[in-house]
Amino acid sequence: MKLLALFWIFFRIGLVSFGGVFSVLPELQRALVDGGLVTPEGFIQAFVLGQVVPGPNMAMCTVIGWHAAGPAGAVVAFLGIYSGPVAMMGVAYAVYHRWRDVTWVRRLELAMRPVVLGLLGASAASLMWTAAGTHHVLALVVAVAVGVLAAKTRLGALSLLFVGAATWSLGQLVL
Amino acid sequence: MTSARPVPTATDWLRVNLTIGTLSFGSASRIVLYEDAVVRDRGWLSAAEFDEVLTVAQLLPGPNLVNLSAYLGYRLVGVAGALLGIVCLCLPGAVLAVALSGLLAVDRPWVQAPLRGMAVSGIVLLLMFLWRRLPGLGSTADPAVLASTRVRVARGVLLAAVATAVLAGASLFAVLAVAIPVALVVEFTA
Repeated sequence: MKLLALFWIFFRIGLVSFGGVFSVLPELQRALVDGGLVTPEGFIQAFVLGQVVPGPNMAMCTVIGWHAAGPAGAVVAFLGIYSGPVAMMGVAYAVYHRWRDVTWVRRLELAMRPVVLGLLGASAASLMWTAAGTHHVLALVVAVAVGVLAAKTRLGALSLLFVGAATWSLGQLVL
Repeated sequence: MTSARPVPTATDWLRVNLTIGTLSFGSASRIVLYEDAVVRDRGWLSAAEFDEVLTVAQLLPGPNLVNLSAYLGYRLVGVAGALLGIVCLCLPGAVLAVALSGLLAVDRPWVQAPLRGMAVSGIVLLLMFLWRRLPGLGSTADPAVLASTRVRVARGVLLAAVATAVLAGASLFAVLAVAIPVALVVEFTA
């Protein structure tokens, strides 16, 4: 039963997908490419697409499901990859929420703040390196423009993303 | 003490997720988009509550963005609304990816340029967001009391050390295996 096999692959990989698709990329590749469900080229293309589209980068799994088994495959992949983590975090949140007013639970959360901010800061910095590519000057111009607008105006994040997109496109035409 | 604060309906919450799910190009922007939607634009949560939600969502297993939406949804509109919110967040990108996989023009310069612009902008917004979170390092379990200078300095050093170690290429698990015990010692010997 192909759909069942597909669901099981995505479900068990979803269970260990801490932090997004990157942590499980090798495992996905082994199960899907070596298992003959998708060609190596198809896998790479799905990965690129998953990075480009909005929303969680797990979107690549839906693409692979579609190409392996049509619309039903896409639905099975979508449900498979998300149901495990959602169920786990549901339980974890319910437990945390029940105890969050207890002083030492509150202190655990406070204690973890520097760790979380440090991790996010590091990932932002390394993402910047990847996103800029070879266009260092253009990246700097867009970064400064968006930074100044964010600090000095009431423009929201969504508008600023589109300002950044327009600035980069213009810059690439001009430079 | 708390004045009447706007409470979202399930529909409000689904609309927020659908918007972010459809327009959040560039992964770094997503936390900031949620903060805009939930704290700045609508006032459903205070900045301090958002700090707490973010820490919890980042530490629990699962894709970060889905975690954040899930716990925000759970606090704002309950379990059913949170589940539907996740679907609204994940579905547009999945559909778009499948649709685009027939075309595969994503490596063209005119597609790449706006995407790069959005990615860089999102990262800048995320860095500014993190900067604004720094005062939260002075919080204690009692909202009226600030942490001692020793604790604040220790938390700042820990933040910088974690960021540096990850950027220097240390494995995530190794960093967490050291940082989490240190964080606990800092907090519970204060």
